Amino acid sequence: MKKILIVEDEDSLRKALVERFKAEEFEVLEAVDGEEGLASAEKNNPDMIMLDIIMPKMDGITMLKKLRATEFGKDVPVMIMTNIDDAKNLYDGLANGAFDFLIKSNWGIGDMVEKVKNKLAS
Amino acid sequence: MDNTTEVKLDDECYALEEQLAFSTAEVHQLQEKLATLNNLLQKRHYELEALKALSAELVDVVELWQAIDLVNAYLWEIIDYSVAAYIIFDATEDTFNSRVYLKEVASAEYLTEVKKTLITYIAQNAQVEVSSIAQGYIDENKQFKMAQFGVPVSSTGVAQPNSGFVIPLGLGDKTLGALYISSSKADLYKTESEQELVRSMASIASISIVRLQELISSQHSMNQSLVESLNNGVIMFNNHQKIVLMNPAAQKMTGLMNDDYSVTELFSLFPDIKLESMIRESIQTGQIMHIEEAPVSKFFYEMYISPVRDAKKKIVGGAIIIHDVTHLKEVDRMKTDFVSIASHQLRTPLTTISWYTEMLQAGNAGALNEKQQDYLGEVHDSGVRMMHLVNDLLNISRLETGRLKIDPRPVDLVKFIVDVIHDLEVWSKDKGRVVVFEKPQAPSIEIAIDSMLTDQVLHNLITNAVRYSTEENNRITISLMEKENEYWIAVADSGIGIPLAEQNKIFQKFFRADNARIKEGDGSGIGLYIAKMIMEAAAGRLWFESPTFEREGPDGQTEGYGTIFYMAIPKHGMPSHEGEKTLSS
Repeated sequence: MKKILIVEDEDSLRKALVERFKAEEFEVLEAVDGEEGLASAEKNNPDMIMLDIIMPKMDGITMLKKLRATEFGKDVPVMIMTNIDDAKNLYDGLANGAFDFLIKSNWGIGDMVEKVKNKLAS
Repeated sequence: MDNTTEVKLDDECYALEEQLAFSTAEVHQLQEKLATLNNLLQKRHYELEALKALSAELVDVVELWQAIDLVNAYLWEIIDYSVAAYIIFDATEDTFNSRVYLKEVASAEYLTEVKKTLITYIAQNAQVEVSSIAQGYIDENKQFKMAQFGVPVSSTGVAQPNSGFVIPLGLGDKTLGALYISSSKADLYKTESEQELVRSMASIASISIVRLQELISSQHSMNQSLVESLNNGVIMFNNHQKIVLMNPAAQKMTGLMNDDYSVTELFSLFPDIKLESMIRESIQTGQIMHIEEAPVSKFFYEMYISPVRDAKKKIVGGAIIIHDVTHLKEVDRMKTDFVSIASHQLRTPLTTISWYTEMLQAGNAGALNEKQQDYLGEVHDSGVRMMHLVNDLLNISRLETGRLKIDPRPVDLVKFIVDVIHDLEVWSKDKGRVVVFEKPQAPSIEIAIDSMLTDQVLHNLITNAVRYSTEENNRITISLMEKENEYWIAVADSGIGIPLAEQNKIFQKFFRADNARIKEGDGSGIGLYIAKMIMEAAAGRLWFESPTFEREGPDGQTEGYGTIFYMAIPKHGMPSHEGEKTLSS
């Protein structure tokens, strides 16, 4: 069973993702900000991380940078999902090894799950 | 006549003769005196005329050395001298400038003697600020420039001055310089009257010189007080890269508290800007350089670098004018941030709506009946519409504030169009339309375009064509044409057309023609506005023709229908644009 960590500060969205992935037979971990996300990633070593950018305490890009500097975190696939799209965030995300960068409002939840599954299968 | 009377008469005659002789002598004397006075008067008259003429000419003089030149021209004619030398103190640079006019060929030693005499006179007679500098020159054996005029210097020339006198140039207790008239002949200029004319001319010249100096310094101080009071930072430096002026504003901005710094210290404040080379270029080419935004810690400064010229238009240094635009940038950033944040905030609940309706419709929370599905579908569709609207608003904001990033890459235009049509194939077939590409003769056409932006435009045109076509007239034709220095992409349909009365509003924000509204209720009316703005930002054009066909309408009247939209892209490609934002789709 694959482990997925969902780092998202917006409760309703996090809940939707958690429930959806649980339904897809994933072991699902949650975090509400970058700080929690980093700690959870270190402790639990997920197979995939879905990462929001705008979050309190520690934002997604900062968490990603710190994650990539660690032993356990340097290779884990990270999908960035955000609703703020500017070129800088996109660049920062991809430069720090996120394999994808999605605008949440443009993507159906089912399609996002598909993407994750495809990535894990490859 | 008796003897006494004769003697008396004789005496009287004698006395009269004496008197006469005396008178004659007196008359002679008087005549001589008169002659001398006449001469003197003539001379005076002549001198007065000369002085008047000099005065008159000096009125028009605007340059210091012009005045000296003029005075010397008069003296050259009137006075017997070998060398006339002038020295003037330059208060703006704390240096001395001098000129020497040679009427007789002199040796280099003669001139050295002249220089020494001049500087010594200044050191001994001028006011303390000037004399101390002169003394400094003497003590350090410093040289000052002496421009030569008249006959040349030669080793065979006269060796030294044997007579001469120095007159100060200045008014009251302000000595601005000196004039040294000298001759190889001895015993000249001993009398007051000989010196007098020169003194008079020197006085007149002094008035002029003082006036000119004051003009320069008042201009200078006027400028200075102007500069002091400016809100903008002003830093002026001379040709030796030394800062000569820094107003309070500049001190505050740079944190450099006095102007004893060289420009290189300034450079270290702006590490990202090639300030040094810009200053050099400005001084060399005489051009004004502009830096739009220079970041310094938390602040942003707009800077202008300009050369500074003296009255002769020679470049003597440069000036940097610093304008604090932090606030402007802040406001600008806040505006764009506002839109970004607003759209981010709007998108979050929209995502919730979208995802939960999707999950409900997929049965993730249990099976739904038909009506539930139907209602949920309405909610979902509305959510999607709102999402498109938010994206459009965000894009409009970016286009309008010029923050759109344009990133042209070489692309095969033919393949590009094929791909866009292919992306829409399923959807257009679903709508019952047929989209055909009339390929051009050339198998491929290379051009530098921003694919994402161009795709957006073409996508919009094709979707419009599909939406506003009808079941009977369901064919949409796309063609690619080469026109002089542009490529044209045409999207032609035989749909409802654009009514003439509303054609001038088609590209307006939120505008939808009535017939379009009837045909298809949804539609933000922003698509064409964005498309046009994109094309224009990318140095292209967007326009249309409608109607393109005619037929007989249901009421027997002829009615027009069909529309062709044209996109023109310059052959040399789209221009690149920095911008921080890409479009949202």
